[in-house]
Amino acid sequence: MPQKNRRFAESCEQFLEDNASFCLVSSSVKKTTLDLLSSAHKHVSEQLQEGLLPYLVQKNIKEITCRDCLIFEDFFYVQRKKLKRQGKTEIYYELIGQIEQWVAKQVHEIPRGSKVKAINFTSVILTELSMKHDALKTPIEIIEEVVIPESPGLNRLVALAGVKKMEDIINLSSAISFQFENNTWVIFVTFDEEHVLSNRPLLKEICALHSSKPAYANDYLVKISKLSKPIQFYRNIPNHSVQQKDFATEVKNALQVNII
Amino acid sequence: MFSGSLAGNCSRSALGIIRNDVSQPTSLGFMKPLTDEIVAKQSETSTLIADNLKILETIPLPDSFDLEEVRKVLENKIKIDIEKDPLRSIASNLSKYANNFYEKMESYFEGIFDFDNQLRERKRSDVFSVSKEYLMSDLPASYVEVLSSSLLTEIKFLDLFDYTVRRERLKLRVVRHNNKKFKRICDGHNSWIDKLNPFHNSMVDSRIRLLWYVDFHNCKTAEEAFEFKVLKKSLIDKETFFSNILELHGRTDQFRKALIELNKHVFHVSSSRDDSTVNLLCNSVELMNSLG
Repeated sequence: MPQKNRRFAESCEQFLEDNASFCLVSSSVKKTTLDLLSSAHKHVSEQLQEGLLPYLVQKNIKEITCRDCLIFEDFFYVQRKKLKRQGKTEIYYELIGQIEQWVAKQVHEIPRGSKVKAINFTSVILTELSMKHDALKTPIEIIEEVVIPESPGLNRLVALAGVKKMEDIINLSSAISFQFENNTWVIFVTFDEEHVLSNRPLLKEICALHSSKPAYANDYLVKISKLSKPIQFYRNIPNHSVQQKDFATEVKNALQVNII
Repeated sequence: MFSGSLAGNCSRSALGIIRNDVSQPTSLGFMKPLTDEIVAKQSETSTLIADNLKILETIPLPDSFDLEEVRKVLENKIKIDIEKDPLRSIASNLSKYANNFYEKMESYFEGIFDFDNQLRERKRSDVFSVSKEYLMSDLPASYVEVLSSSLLTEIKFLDLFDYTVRRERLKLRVVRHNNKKFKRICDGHNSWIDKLNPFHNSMVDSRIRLLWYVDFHNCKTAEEAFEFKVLKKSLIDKETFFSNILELHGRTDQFRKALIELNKHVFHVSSSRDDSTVNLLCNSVELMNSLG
């Protein structure tokens, strides 16, 4: 998922550049990410088409220079007033604020002394947007996609391991299904400290699922490659706890795989 | 950002008036006898016309249009385009070299990379034209999204093509005096190109179909078609329009998958977070994600 946090984003990019061929992504995560990117592109495109360009036409602004930023300040002020009238939530203000910041940057980037036709200016920034949209799609597109049916039983056990957000529960449950169905180790790579990584010990103990930040994923890979395969590993755990037995039953029900 | 070509007036003319097969990848013919230049040009023109007429036949035209008249206008446009478009004559020369590759290898390599750069520029300029057309219209944003994506996918294809051909060039030079090995490398090249061609062609056909459909339904006469105009959604049939959008989306996706299968490392482009547009998109994605 494209990250807002710069450090996370760079770390993700680097991780994928080095490890894309070892990675898998569930079809639902892929779809959600691509849909969100598409929605972001559509939202900005519509703001330019339905808002900014008609505003410039209405104000009879035919050309733009790098000194015309205040025209846009006025436009975004009007937009915010509209949002207020419509009773929109804070997120919409944030979204419009993001576009405002971006447009202002683009206006400042017009070379000094140059005049750009208003329609060409908006077309150029939309072109730029489409190009970056395309570039942001590629990291997720190159990862191999797997379709994993949802298992309510496994979802319940992931929830018992402490994971609260439904989206994360489903993703973790998919990773567990893949791990035991294919008897191959999976490392769930994420930055989500709050919902996933904080529950790492229980996920490992009950579900034998390793989760890690991208920076440590390769170290985990080395570590687990020395272990026996997941099913054998689970079978060899001495004195299975009640939760582990419960988990094994759910795996049997969901995947028809006997892990104890 | 404001390079001359983009900031200037960009007419619709760059944008797929006709099936743009100057970008169609060429197979390498190991040793083919040279055909007569005039005959080759005539056959190129007639193939191009036939391809475009085939697409035309699949588009539901407005009732007021006479198909024969549209055909004539289209044929005429194609002939003018062939005469006027500088890239077309370069493409024609390059395919001549590619057809007799053993003899003309160096001439081919001298031209191909520069040609691909010009083609990239044209595709970017086409994205600009599509963006402008969208902004001046009241068409939905999916129109600009799918068209841009298909054009940008062609740029990715060019990147991948150049990367692979540079490697092949090195190998070909090493085995220059060994006919058998030379031919084997040409066959290898043709094999991956032949795999990609159907995906590329069907994507371009779908794109032209979408552009023409919207265009024809936004003009009164065939003469007005293929010219820049303000497009209105009220003049098009919603169902046909969206089925064209979906078709292009699907075919672009298939072409991208085929490219990824060939080389995911070249396909993958890193995006710098110093770029304000990347930041805008990433931040919007997070915000939209929290909207649920």
